[in-house]
Amino acid sequence: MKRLHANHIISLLLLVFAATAFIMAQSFTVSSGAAPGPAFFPQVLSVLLFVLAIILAFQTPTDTDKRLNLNVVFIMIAFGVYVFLVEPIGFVVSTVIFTAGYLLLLGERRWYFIIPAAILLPLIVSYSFEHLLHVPIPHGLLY
Amino acid sequence: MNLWEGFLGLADPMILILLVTGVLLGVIIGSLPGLTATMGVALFLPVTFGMEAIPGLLLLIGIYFGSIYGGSIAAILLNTPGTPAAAATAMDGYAMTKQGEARTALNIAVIASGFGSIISVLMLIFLSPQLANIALNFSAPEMFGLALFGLSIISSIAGASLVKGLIAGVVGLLIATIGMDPMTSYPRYTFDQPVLLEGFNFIPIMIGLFAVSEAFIMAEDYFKEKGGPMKVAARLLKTNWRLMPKLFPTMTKSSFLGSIIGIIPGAGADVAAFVSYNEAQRFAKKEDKALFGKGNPKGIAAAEAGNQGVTGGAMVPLLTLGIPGDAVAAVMLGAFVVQGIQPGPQIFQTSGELMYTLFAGMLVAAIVMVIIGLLGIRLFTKVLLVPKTLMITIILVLSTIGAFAINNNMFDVYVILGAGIIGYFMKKHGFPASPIVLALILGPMAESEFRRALTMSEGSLMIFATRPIAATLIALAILSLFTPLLVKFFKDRKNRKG
Repeated sequence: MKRLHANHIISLLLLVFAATAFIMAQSFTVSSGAAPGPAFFPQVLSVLLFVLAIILAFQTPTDTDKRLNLNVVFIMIAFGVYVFLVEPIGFVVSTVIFTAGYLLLLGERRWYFIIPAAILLPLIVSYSFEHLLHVPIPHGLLY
Repeated sequence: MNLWEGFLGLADPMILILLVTGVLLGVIIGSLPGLTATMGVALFLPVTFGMEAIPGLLLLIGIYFGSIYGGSIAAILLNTPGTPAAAATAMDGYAMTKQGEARTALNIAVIASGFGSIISVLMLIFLSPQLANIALNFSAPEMFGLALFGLSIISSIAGASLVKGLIAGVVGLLIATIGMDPMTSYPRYTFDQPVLLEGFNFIPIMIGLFAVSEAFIMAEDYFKEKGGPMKVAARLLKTNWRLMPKLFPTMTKSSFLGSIIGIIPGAGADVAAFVSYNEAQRFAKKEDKALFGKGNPKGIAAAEAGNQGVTGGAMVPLLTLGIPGDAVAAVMLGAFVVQGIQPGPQIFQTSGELMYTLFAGMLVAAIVMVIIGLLGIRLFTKVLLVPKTLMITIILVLSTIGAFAINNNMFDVYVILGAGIIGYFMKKHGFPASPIVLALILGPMAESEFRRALTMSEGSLMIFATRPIAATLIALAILSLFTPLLVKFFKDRKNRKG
């Protein structure tokens, strides 16, 4: 038995996913005459995925840099926080904070670059969407 | 005749302004390494929600055309292709830059790109009504065959690992079944959440996979390199215009070649560029042949006309059959659907006038691209100086507001976050993203046509074997699904013998 590698874990996740999809589809019971019902396609696909996941487990992963870069995790979390702030506090204010914070996070230190960017980007984007394209944007509590 | 009326439909300053804006945005996006045509169109798709069909679609077409050309700028000046399709251009383009002929190389690229666009759009204009006419008689079994064929190209766009490509495709197909069953309205995998009844909209998923996750990847690369903005060392001197007439035969041939490759689902702009390049080299005279890769203008002309030829070619199966041949085409399909236009055999019946206005607009877009490319080249080299940090931030902000604009709700924004993170890990582990999007588009079509066909035949699978067109399409699908395996098998056998 070789060492556990990424493909084993992904394969296991896919097997669970496929099995769950298959079992859940058992309850899709609506008759549709001679033609296959709503459960048919999902079940065929689950079986297919199950087989592919087993094949995957026997393949050795290609050697690339798979170490998780901690910086990237911060990048994702920061974007996640922004996304969840947009509705409660509003697009413009949250984008000001996000732009400044993100540039700092990415290693930008020139204040004469960060400040104009953090002000102009949200203003240009919100103005274009609301007034030029007539697409509403969420303003939330603070605008 | 119809095309003339199409041109009349463009007589609106707003439309022309949007076309120019689209091409400009496209060239900028394409010229920045890391930003692809797919990302550009996906990022600006939500912008078109509030627009009418023609201006909205032409904006995106401008971005599409412009970004494929724009890829050549960084390829020529920096030897870093702005898009994968421009890799072939870098070989001779960068060599010319080193010889002090950067300006000539850039101008050849834009003229060849314009050539490629125009010839491929002309091909689209002549071929698509014919193809749509044939497909008009298709009923459920044939449409199922078509959808299956469209799905089978997953194996050729899978990239390094076929299994991983197929897994991405099947997961996409499963996601596509979420929501109300198209035939019986039975809610599947909805967990009693009303927001899931309509199923997942594929547009936010596309934005997440093609824009958000790419931004994460760019950020990671940025952390690794820590490089400042790129430096454009090349000086833009005069253009050697006398070269141009000699290049026309190469451009014409490569444009046709690119268009044909574009029509084949699964073969994209990168394939077209390399095939055209190889063909131009193969048919070159002896002393000329040796110059390829060392700054031969014909190399740029062939690669650029070839990759741009794909733009019109890819529209043929997209518009007439509803089958997107690659990731950009899939995003473009989304743009049509947003405007209430369903690409497929009926498209010339339901939106004939609109089609010809679009065709005319594509020709204008190609000309606009050449003018902008010739006049604005100094501006575009400045774009390369924009810091990556700002690019990443802009992409994420635009993705967020764009996703919100789809239905004016936050659910789609959370979808791009999820799809972005999943897409990042997929890429890290060698799973391609395009099969998911293809599956989301073609899955519902495949399922409902399959079940409709079986209702017609009262449950007998023979219906797919006895109808010649359906049987042919299904056979083609199986063949194209296994082509990569067969190719590998024969290669291995040859290697073992040799």
